Amino acid sequence: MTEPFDVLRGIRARFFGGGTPGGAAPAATAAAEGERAAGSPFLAIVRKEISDHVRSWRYVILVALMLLTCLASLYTASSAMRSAVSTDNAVRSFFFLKLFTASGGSLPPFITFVSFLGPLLGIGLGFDAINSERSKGTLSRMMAQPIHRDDVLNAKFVGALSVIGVMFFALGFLVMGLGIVLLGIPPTPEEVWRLVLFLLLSTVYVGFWLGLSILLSVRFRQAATSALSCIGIWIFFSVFFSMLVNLIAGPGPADPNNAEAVIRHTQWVQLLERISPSQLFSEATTTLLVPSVRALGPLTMEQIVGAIPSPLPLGQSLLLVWPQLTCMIAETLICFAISYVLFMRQEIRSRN
Amino acid sequence: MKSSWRFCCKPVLMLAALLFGVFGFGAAAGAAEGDVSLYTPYASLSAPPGDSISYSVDVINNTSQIQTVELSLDNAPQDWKAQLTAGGRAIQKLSVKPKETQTVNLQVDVPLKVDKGAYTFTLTAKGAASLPLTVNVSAQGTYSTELTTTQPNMQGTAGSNFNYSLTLKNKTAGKQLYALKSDAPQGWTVSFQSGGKDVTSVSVDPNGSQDISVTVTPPDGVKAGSYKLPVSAAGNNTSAQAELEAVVTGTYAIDLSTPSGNLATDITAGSTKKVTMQVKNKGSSPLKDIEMSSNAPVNWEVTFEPSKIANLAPGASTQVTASIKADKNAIAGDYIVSMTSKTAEKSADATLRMTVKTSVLWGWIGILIIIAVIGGVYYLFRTYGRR
Repeated sequence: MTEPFDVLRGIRARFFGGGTPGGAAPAATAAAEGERAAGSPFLAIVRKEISDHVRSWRYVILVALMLLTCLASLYTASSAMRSAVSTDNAVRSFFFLKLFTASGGSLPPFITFVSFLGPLLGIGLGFDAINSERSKGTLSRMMAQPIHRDDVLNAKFVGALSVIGVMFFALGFLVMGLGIVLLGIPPTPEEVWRLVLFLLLSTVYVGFWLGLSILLSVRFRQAATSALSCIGIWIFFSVFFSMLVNLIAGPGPADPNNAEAVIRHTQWVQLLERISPSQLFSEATTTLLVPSVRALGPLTMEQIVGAIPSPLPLGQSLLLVWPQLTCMIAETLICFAISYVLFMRQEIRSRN
Repeated sequence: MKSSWRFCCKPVLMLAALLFGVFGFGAAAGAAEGDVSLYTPYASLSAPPGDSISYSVDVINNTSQIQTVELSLDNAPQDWKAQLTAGGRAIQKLSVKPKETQTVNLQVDVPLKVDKGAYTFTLTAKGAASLPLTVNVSAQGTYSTELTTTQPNMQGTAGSNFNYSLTLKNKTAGKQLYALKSDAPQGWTVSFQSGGKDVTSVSVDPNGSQDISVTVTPPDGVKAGSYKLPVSAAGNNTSAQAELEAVVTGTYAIDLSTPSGNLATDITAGSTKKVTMQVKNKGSSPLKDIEMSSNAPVNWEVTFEPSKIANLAPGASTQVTASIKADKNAIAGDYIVSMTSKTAEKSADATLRMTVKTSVLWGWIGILIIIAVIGGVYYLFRTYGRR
């Protein structure tokens, strides 16, 4: 947990133009980076945050975990798909996207891994953003520098988010490239666009968990508390939430032939489920990566009559998941806003 | 017997020669009347037209000198052909040894075109003898070609082929090559087959016949009615005609599509789209009272303007505007809307693929929500930013 201190050293190096007595080579480098950062203290902190994250063991372990699971799911999916490529012609449309959504039997598909491990990545990068600096006393020393107070929080968020974004895009394009090698089929432009949107969506989704963990790191003084509560929320949403929804929504209507009541109940259940960001994420990714998904809610027979099972164009898929997308972006921003307010109203004292 | 007959005759012949030698000395240069006799056993016979009659004529020298006579056929009717041959060659003059007989062959061809009756002609040995020969032509002769069919009239629809079978008879003396042609109305295809192959000419042996089948294909969009199809076989001198008749019954065919043939369009959920449809009469009979109907998904509305077409001539087309209103709850993606134009006789379907697009309104609302949240964050920046 030396990163916050490094940040401080970087800042100090930036403002005083010299190394501290303990200033090692990284600090000097950070100082040099700070010099180049167009004079803005915000960008200096962002740069320092990024370099800290990238060099930390925590990040390396998380990336290795993501990489291994993704490559494993890619491998099993592609080996299952190779046998299917010549047989079914209907499968061939948007075949490349199947790489991300198809499961090879023994392992869940790529998107499941992202929706499961993504929160861990966000939590891992954000749970001690503020409180560890605080507990080590570096926050008050940093605040002693002529920088805006909110720059610290903003830079924490932006730095971690850009690291996540870069990682997702790198991982996504790596999988795409490996997919071309393994399958021998290049993706169509629409498939590439869908994948890029999926990666953006994943970044936003992890951004939400990052915002939440930063919020908790502002709220709780102990890093362990915020980490535990973050993981608690994560496990709650991924394991217990669906049970809770069933409990709240109650059993379905007594008469299963009452179509209206059944639909109302299903919509109610769906509304409750959509409180969970992972539900929003899985709905959005499924729609983006499986173009044949045409609706997410319950469908009446009236809507299905005369409908042809055909893939949706990208614009229509995007419109379909637009509420989910809006919700996720809004949730992320709201988490950030709350942590911003909390942080700005907090008292920052020096420990000694 | 033969030798004894010769034995007892010999003195008689020698006597006769002696007598001729005495009395006929002055006539040695040319045969005189009675010197030569012509003989054939069949003085009068019957033959059909086109037959060839072969006479064997004996030329008898009654004198004791060699007689040379010029043979010719006189009074031969026109178009009759005759030829005198002996020893495989045509001959003009014939010499006969004293008291001997020489045989010539007379070939007479009865023409095909000959009237019934008795014809007499004379074979003359010039200045010496004449032999009248009578031929009774047993039947009225012909010199013509016949083209006949047992079934000249056929009925079928506009899309069917008409197959006739004709018999071509060559009633001339010679082998004929006939050119086959038809004088069908424009657009009609007439082809002749003989022996399973398409032909334009056939050759027929004299007095022979040949079966010819004729395949007639009416043009596209032929109107109902009766059509005359004269066909002819033209030979060297003769020709024959036959008139075939094809009765085309009216067909009913209707087609429904868009003018461009494009049957895919898009529509926003809850909105109305106008699609121009084209109704075409592809049959050969006019269509009456064409009704437009549709089979759309539930809660979709399709109206036609006009909804009924009173009359549509063969080959004509008319346009109908269909207003399609999509269900406001329709999900994005493709729907099938099928339309039918129907008459009492026929109906045609057109299936439109409607790509439903969701209204962009909620997209804008989503963007507004995000802008509002960003605005809220900006407000927090301003309020708590301590700048």
